[in-house]
Amino acid sequence: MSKQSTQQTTAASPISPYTGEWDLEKAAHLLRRTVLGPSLKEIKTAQKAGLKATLDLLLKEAPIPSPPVKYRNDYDEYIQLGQTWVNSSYRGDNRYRGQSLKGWYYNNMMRVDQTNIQERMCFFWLNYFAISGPITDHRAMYRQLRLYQEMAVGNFRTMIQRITVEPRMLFCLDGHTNDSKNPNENYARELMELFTLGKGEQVAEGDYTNYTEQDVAALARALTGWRNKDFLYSDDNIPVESYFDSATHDTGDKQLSHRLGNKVIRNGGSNEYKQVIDILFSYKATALNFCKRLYRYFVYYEIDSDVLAHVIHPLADTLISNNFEIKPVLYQLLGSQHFYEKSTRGAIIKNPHDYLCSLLRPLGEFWHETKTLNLQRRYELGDQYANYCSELQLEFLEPPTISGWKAYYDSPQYYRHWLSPALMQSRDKIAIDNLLDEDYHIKGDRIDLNYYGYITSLTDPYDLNKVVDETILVFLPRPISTSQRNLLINKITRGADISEWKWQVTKYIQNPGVDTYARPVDDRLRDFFKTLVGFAEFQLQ
Amino acid sequence: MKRRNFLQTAAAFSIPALVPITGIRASSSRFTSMIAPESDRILVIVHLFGGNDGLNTVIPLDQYSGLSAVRKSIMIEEKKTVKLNDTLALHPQMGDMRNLFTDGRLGIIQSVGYPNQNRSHFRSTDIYTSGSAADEFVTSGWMGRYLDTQYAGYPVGYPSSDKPHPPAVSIGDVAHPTCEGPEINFSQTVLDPDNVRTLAMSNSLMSDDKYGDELAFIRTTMRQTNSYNDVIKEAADRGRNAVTYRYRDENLYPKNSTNPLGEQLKKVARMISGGLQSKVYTVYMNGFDTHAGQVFESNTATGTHAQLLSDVSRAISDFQNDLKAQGLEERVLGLTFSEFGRRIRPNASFGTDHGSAGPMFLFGSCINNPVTGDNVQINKDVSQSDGVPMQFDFRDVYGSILVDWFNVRTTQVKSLLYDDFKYLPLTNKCNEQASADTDESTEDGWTIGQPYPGSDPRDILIAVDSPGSNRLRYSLFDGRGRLVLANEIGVDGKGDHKLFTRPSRLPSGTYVLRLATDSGAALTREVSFN
Repeated sequence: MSKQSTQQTTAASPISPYTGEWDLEKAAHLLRRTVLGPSLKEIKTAQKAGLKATLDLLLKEAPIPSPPVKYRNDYDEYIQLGQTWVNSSYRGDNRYRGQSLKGWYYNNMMRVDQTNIQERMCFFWLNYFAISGPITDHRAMYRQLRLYQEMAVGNFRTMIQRITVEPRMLFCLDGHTNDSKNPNENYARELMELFTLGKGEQVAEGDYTNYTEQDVAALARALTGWRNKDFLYSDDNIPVESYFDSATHDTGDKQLSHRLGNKVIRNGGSNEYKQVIDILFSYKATALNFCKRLYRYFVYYEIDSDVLAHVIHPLADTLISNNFEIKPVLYQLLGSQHFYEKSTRGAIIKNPHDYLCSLLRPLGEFWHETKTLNLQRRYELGDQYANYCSELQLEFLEPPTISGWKAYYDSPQYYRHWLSPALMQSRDKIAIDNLLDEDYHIKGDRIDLNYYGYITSLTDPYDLNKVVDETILVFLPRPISTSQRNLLINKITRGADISEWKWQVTKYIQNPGVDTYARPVDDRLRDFFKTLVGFAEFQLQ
Repeated sequence: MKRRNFLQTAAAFSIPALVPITGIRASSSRFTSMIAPESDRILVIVHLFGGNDGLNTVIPLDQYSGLSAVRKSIMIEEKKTVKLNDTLALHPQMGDMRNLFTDGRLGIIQSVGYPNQNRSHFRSTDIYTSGSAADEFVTSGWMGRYLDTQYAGYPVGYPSSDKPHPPAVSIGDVAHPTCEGPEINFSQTVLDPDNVRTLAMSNSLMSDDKYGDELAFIRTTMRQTNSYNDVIKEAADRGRNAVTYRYRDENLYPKNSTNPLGEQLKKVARMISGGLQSKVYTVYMNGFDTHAGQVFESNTATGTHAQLLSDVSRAISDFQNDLKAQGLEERVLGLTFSEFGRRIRPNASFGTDHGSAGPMFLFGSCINNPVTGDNVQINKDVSQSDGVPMQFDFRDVYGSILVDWFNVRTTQVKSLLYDDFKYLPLTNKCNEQASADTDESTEDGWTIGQPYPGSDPRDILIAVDSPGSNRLRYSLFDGRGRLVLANEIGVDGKGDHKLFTRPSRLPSGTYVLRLATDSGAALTREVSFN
């Protein structure tokens, strides 16, 4: 272990606990990076509760969302409406399971009844393992998502153990065909290169500093024998499970290279993969690699030598000393001086999930609309979000490569990969022409955002300056220019004196749902939000 | 009449007359380095994603005994193919491209690939778009690196009054990785030039930190989106299509659907016609990953692949005819690529799995050779996992396009692509001049005359004036683009030199002679042996 890394958490160290002022801006920063699209109420609660209590809340193990269900009557004739399909065979017509899964995933993301890191971590894992590929069925995809939800803030070693024999991963990286006669190196390679040690500099033919080609071949042999049950789209009740087939397992000794201490892996049968993982976890490179991934996801893409020495190394030490529990690492990172440094506050370009959630969730999404409480509409709405994200180049169950989305690894652009001229225009169109449009429809039902609910949730809705400032706090990462602020105010006043607002909004609040008072204010707020989401700043968090 | 690239500096060069030579028909081509830097030449890159099955696209007619031994279940009956010549044919659905071929507007480069073929779609796409070796990881695109030499400092300061148009245009949502530069992708993404969206700009509060860097990036993207959208919209409004782009062949499924490639090329033609000065356009077509149902069992001339190739053939032909009708064809060169070819032997699902090399198409009226390279040899002993072996490295194709189409010096091509770059005479037809009777001077101070025969007509001589003692390298290519002779001669000042003696193994015909100086200037000549 390097000496540098043990000199941690002195008072001046960037990873030492944050001791500065805990104001609304800091609370909003923490929530924007952990919850998708925090509301004013959440931000205020976090500020009042303090950093420690907020971290407790965010990192608490949240209940696992109930599984996706059959949401329309015209398919899956062997399942009741409202009942889940995740354990049901593919008997009958199952054409809506894909949409059900997507709708479910996005509705979990959009839920407004808990302040927790679960969904943020779920996508972290989706990107971390980046499983894709055509050999799958919906139940296997659900199983994978459920694993990510369960393990959101779980143990990293346990996660690697479970993913190694997870059916969808076995398909994705050919583990299911890896056998003693014909070892397939695909998973063994990625396990080291991406999931644990990380590929170091190539210093000689086949030697990547942290491991060598010899280790790839040896690990491939050690991982032989895992098979998937014949469940794919099966009409029979074959569970989505993998199993160990000792007949195809290579029982010989596997000699590792000097990079892995010249160790020998002896036959461990169905537990041999755990031996493999223990060896990989005995090197700090694994913890460092993981903590870099966390850092790029939560803080900023650039990791310079200072950050490496004074942030990543201490985090890796924490991970190791806590037996690879992730929570203590997140506590340390999200509660550190470094996390609240001004330079990186607001410096992440939103991915499509954040873009949608940060627009909708602070406005309560559409949960107030009784039309969206209808089971089918709710799923269709969630599915619509999936379509938007796919248009914005994020297909959550089909990452582009096993390395995940370029935003999180591809230098030098990183997060900038989420934006191009066409994608900027698509974002603008989805936000302004669709979601914020007064004529927004979901399958023939018109739905609208709850501006009334938003206005009445503000600290002082009668003072337009405060309305604007509080809205900036919620929706934008930093204060904006005076001219931008004036633009926003003008969208409300439309040239009238600012004092008009007080009278207008009083009537608005007193007469909910009465068109005479509601329409003028709703229309102005709609314009106001259309302007706000058009700011370059809204792309950042 | 050949197209001439206008040269502001042309008057500076002496153009002495040469006595016509018997026995050799010599015509010179321009020093490629003399093409005007503001050349209006355009490259259209067609990405056929999924890995196109080259063997059912460009069919080697002389290999049917091998094909029927190893490819029977998906092979196309010879009589159904569209013949190009005695030994080569196209897929039955590619009649339109055959017409281009007959017309000299389509070139085929056989078996393009790279050593140690990677068979992952994504990785191999990365290799093809970055122009890297199989074991190299390069984040920029080959075209992006070239554009970086033309748009210094981009995106800062662009669009400018000098260069008001986007360097490249990618049709669709995603800036094509081919155009990825060291800093930013050089392509403006265009979904629909008629329906561009203006993004509202406001005055931001900038700050000198990481937040400020990202904010500046977003603002640049927004500003460029708007400025470039304006010129794109203008060009589209001004431009037109002179032909009707056809829908998918009505005999193919699904009925009445648009041709996905044709729709994109139609937009490209309109923007070019309207005067958009972007140097590169990328279009993208998916679906070539034909693991299953590539052909229908009952009729191998039909199936998914037939539909894909029909779309490609119609689209490229309509595009080419559009350009021709508008007098634009000599400005536009097209190139297709796919991340790999497929295996020689089919799988059990009437499809093919990921393979190795495959053909590339060039289209436009400046193509040198109808066919570059030899037919794939189909050996009956190929294994299930064998793909088509490569004859040409894709980087030599790219590099030769840079040399002939964009006037990039060979030394620079080596740094943009790879050190082992080997020039192929693919697209320099339009670089030739109307008059063959010129000496030419290079910017490094050489004057080089026309090759002519010596007293022994097999000897080929040339007049050279070099600045001091130097070496002149030559390479001779046959009509199929194969290098048949290469060496160098020493030259010192002004004089006539023997380049080489025609080897008896070289048959009569037209050859391309490429001459390169020590400091990297190069030019090509045509030599005909009787």
